[in-house]
Amino acid sequence: MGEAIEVRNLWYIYPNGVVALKGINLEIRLGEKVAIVGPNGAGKSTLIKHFNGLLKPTKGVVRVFGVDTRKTTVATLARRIGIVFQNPYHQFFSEKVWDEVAFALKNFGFPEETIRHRVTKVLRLFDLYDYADRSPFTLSSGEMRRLAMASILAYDPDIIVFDEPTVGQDRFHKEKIREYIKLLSSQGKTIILVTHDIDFVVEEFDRLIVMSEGRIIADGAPREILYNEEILTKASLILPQIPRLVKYSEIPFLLKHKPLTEDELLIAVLGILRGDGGRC
Amino acid sequence: MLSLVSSVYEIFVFRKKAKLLYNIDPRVKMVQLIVTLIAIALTTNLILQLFIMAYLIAFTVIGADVRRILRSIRTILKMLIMFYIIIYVVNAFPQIVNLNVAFQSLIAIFRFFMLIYSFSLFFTTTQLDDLAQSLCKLKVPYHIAFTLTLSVRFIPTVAKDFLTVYDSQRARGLEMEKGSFLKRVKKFLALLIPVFIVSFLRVDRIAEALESRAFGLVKNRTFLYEVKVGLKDIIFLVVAITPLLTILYLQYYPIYF
Ligand SMILES: Nc1ncnc2c1ncn2[C@@H]1O[C@H](COP(=O)(O)OP(=O)(O)OP(=O)(O)O)[C@@H](O)[C@H]1O
Ligand SMILES: [Mg+2]
Repeated sequence: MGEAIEVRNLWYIYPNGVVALKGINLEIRLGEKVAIVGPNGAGKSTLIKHFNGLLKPTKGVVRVFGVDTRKTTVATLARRIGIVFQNPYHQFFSEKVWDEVAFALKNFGFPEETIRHRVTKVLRLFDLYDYADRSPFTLSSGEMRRLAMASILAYDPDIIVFDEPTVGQDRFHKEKIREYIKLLSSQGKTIILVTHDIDFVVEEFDRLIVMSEGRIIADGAPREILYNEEILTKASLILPQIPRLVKYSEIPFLLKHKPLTEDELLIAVLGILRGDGGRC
Repeated sequence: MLSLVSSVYEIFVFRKKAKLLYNIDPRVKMVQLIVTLIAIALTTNLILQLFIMAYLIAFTVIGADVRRILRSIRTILKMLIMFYIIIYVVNAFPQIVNLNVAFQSLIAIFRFFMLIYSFSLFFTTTQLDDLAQSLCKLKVPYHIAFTLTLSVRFIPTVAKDFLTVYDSQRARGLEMEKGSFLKRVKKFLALLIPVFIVSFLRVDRIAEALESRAFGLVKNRTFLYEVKVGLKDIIFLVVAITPLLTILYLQYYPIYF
């Protein structure tokens, strides 16, 4: 047990012939925090759509909580795995923000009382409570994105997949999303994050998956991958700020660890100055 | 239903290929299309209809991307099987088995199939910008030609929106297959409203973007690549039209053996 998602030799070909996934192998354990990065068109969104059965494998198997996604319905899977999609415009249809959040809860047949309680809670959490009676379409795009998140988190799935949640968020709300992911993770939720925002990954995630052209080209600790220029080049990523700084300075020879955040670098540099080799 | 939506894409979208039909002037192909449509509409004789079908197949093989058209056919057929069942049930009611109706419906569907097939052949081999230009040369005002081609251009986009919306709602536990009729209608709204809104927003955005790039400023807009009717096009026209005119002739002056 402990396996939340298991992907075996997954191939996916779109009806128009695009081979979007080419033999993906992947295991995500319960409670893990995984980030998926890769250039546009790498197949990230295609991969996550297999997690709740929206797409079924052309070849290979995807099992979620041990269940083959081909042998169950999307609704059944959706109850335990929530996906927050890239574009919020594609899901809003209610007259009120409140109803939008209540939508999934109603689909899953929660009792009225629970719905009221959950919606209030999640709207508060996302700073949207004051907008409860407004139309979703009058929100700013950052607010819409948060509403899209709220509408999934309201029903409390065990695995939460975010497809680029930080796009268009201001610093403050990016920070809030980070806190929220932390909170969810501390509650034992499995978090899967698709993003282009490497700095966001650096601080929170203990596992990084790099995709390129339908394949996984790296899967491991961010600390190792983000210092590996070969992999980063393949994925059209640039060396993140801190590794770059380390690379172009004289420090790497003095460091025993690879710092990823400003704080870690600071501690490392202070360590060097103190003369103990900059242990993080 | 949804795979059908996605397949609209396959039926209509142009993708460049170096084959004959792709290099023929759109005006010539338009004439071919119109004559084909007339022939399909006017022929009642099954044999002649089969000839039209053979004609379409011949042009696919000679001038189009055969694999592409095959995919297109597959999706058209899927769509038509549904129509066939509906037509049959409506006409045969209250009978269950009625061979005559089954045959008649089959012929009706067959014509419909050829109709879509001809459109598919036209649109998959014609670049929309060239089409707009050709319409302009036929003295259609540019903004009308442009709007027309733009709407064709957006059929697959809206189809794609529909799928994205459907995915988003399913991810939130929406089950279209469940519930009473009224409930399903209500559920359908959860799909329809976002599609409309996304479409409207897009229209707004496109309008702004077009205006910001001086759309409609000058009357006689220029085109990057001029379409021209050359000798090749005229020969094509003659070769393409003759069989159809022959079929039409045979429809009205049948030869009995
Ligand atoms: N509905 C579709 N039909 C056909 N091809 C598609 C479809 N959706 C995606 N693709 C193709 O599949 C490939 C992978 O797309 P995908 O959306 O998974 O990329 P992504 O990694 O999420 O990119 P991005 O960072 O831009 O979101 C791309 O080449 C894309 O063009
Ligand atoms: Mg994507």
